[in-house]
Amino acid sequence: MRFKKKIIILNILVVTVLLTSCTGLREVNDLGIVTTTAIDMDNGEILLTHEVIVPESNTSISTGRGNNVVYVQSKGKTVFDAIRNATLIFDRKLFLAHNRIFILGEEFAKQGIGDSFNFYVYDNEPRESAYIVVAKDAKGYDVMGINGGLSDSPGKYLFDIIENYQLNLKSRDFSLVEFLRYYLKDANPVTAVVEHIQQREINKEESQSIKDSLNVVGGAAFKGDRLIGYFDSDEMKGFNFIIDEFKNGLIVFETPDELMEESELIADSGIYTVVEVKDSSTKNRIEIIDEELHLKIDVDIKGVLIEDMKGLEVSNKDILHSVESSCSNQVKNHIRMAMEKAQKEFKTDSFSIGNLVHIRYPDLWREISGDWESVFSDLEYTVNVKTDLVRTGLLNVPINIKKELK
Amino acid sequence: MKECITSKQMVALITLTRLSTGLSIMPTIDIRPYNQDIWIMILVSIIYTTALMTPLLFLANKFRSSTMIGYFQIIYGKSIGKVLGFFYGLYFLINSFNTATIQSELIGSSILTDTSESLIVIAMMLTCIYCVSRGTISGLRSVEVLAPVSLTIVIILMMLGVNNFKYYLLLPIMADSTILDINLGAMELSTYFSEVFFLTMFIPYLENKDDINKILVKSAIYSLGLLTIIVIICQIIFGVEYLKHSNFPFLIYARSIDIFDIVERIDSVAVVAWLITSIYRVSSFLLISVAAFREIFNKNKDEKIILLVLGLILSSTTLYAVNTRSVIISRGDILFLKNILFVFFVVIIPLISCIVYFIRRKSIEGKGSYN
Repeated sequence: MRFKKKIIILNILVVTVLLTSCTGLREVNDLGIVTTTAIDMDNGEILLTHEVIVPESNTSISTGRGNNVVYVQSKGKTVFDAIRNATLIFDRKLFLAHNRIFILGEEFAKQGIGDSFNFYVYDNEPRESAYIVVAKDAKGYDVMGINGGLSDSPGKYLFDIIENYQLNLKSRDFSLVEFLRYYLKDANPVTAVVEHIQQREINKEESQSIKDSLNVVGGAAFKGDRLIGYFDSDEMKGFNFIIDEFKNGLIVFETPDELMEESELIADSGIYTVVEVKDSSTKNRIEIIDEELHLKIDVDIKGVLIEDMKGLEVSNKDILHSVESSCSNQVKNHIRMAMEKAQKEFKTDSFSIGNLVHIRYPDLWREISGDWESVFSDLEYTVNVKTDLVRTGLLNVPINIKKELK
Repeated sequence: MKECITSKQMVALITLTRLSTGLSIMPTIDIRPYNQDIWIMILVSIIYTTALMTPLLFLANKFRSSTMIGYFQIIYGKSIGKVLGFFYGLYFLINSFNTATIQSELIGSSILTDTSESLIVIAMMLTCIYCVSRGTISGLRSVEVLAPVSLTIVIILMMLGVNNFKYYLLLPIMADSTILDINLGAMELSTYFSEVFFLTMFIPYLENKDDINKILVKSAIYSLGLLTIIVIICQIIFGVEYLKHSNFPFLIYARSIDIFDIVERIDSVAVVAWLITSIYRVSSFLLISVAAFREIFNKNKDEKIILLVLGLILSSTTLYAVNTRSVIISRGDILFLKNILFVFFVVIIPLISCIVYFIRRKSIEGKGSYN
């Protein structure tokens, strides 16, 4: 019995010590909690810029909006070396578990990021769910410290506008885990892009006439781990359609003139019609036609006619069908633009079409996988888009035409 | 109250402990065919697992009132039986050591990164030694309570990953592997099923001894079936290649769970589920090792010195191993030896024992006290 009691008491003591975190404890005030990391190259060394939160209890630093973060820059031969070198100039140990964004400087991204990202996967502290964005035509740190919105910190501002991509689909969110999936599968990632822009300051109480903001638009195309170019906003729409991630964006297209011939227009200076996509699904099929690989992209869109500037008699079914057709054509354009850029300019399969070949024709894939990029560049494709306008909002006839009841 | 264990408890113990490695290092992904067809290989391995265990099952059915250490003494005579029993005792201890070292490394790399490895090992070994000191019956009863907890956590975690499924990562079935690959892999995977020894060592405690075969088949189907689902889910989320690069795939999977920014960072929950399976695995192998040595030295089940000695050996070797190398990386070096030991202890010795039993059947049955 005494043996058992001793074991129990000893066990409880040890477990108690562990559970109260008395070993390896880390107080918040001893940590530099990193929310955003910019990675750049500087004279052959890795240059890291960390956005670190200032804890509210730390009264020595102002905690007003915009000042609740500090920036720490450090260099090193490797990423971890640079992180540890930060402690030479910064009085907190950097804590990476809350890092939500990696901003890659363009120069760094062009050199290849695979080698440098190992640390973020080796170590258990950084999270694989952190987003990766490329700073277009800039160093990573150039787009830090900018808060053009209402978020608490610049890092949170960037995080929020990355997540806003779902509202327009002109970019995408792309996390570290996603990068690893692509990279290790010999596929080619496409990440979000961020740009520094300047806008006119409307608030006259502000002393500056120019306001700094960030613009997350477009996609950065990688070949393996190297940045090779950018998709613009329209191409990214096409990209998102091809990879079946266009779930809730807008399709803006010119309204065909012939649709208004029978309508009595009140205003006629507008050009565009907008369909808000409520749902879409894309089915990509690869087939062999005349001994050549052929890609068929079938897109099915359910949308709402949310805005038209030219006056469409939408209560007329024929006109509505014509609008659907115009919308489909615009989506085809977006898809063709994206395919064109990937095939002709990047010569890189950014859409993982190779995976379809692997699935459908595994034997053929074994033969051509080594030379897939050149096969992809000449790949023939057909795009079919079907649009169904399932709502026309609160109006059956827009306000810029007269409604005549017969 | 009758001191016995039910078939359900035994199935739960084997299933739980078999899942332990799947939830930690998931060795399955490093076995042929190394690709998207691993799940087929796991399912095929159920057949090989059952087939490989046939000699052991035959002996277990023949000697229902003895542990395997006991019936070796009946088949080979006291001296050879005890020598064999000694080696089996050591083999069980090696299995316990193997799990304990992996467990320490996972805890040290995941939730207690700044805690000393020694402290982790000491705390873990004290817990395991205490569990073993409570005896077989208590241990098996507690499985009935904790196995559902652990399995429920695993199943819930698997469901929470649904929104991370990337169907584009799915590759065609059997397009990149051959039947030979699948069968070789299945054979290799079946050599991981050393949990069969819990059955052969706990037979005297079994309430219904007619269930021996059922217990093995059920636990093989349950554990390997669950492992199949875990592997498929992890592959859908990470792809084949990324999974291969990971030391602890299920932990990485749990880290990736993020449901609308509400359920996230729940990897410690996965560690809890895995800890339960691991503690049982370490304790159970230590328990059967202690039971083997007790039987060899004719000690009763309340004797504690053997537990203390083996516990100390296990703790000190585990401490030494985790403080001198990465166990996960070093596993590759001893994998061949591990497989050889498995074949030797699970197939060859029991097979020879069956042959000797048939040769000496009349004299053994003449003694009449084995069944």
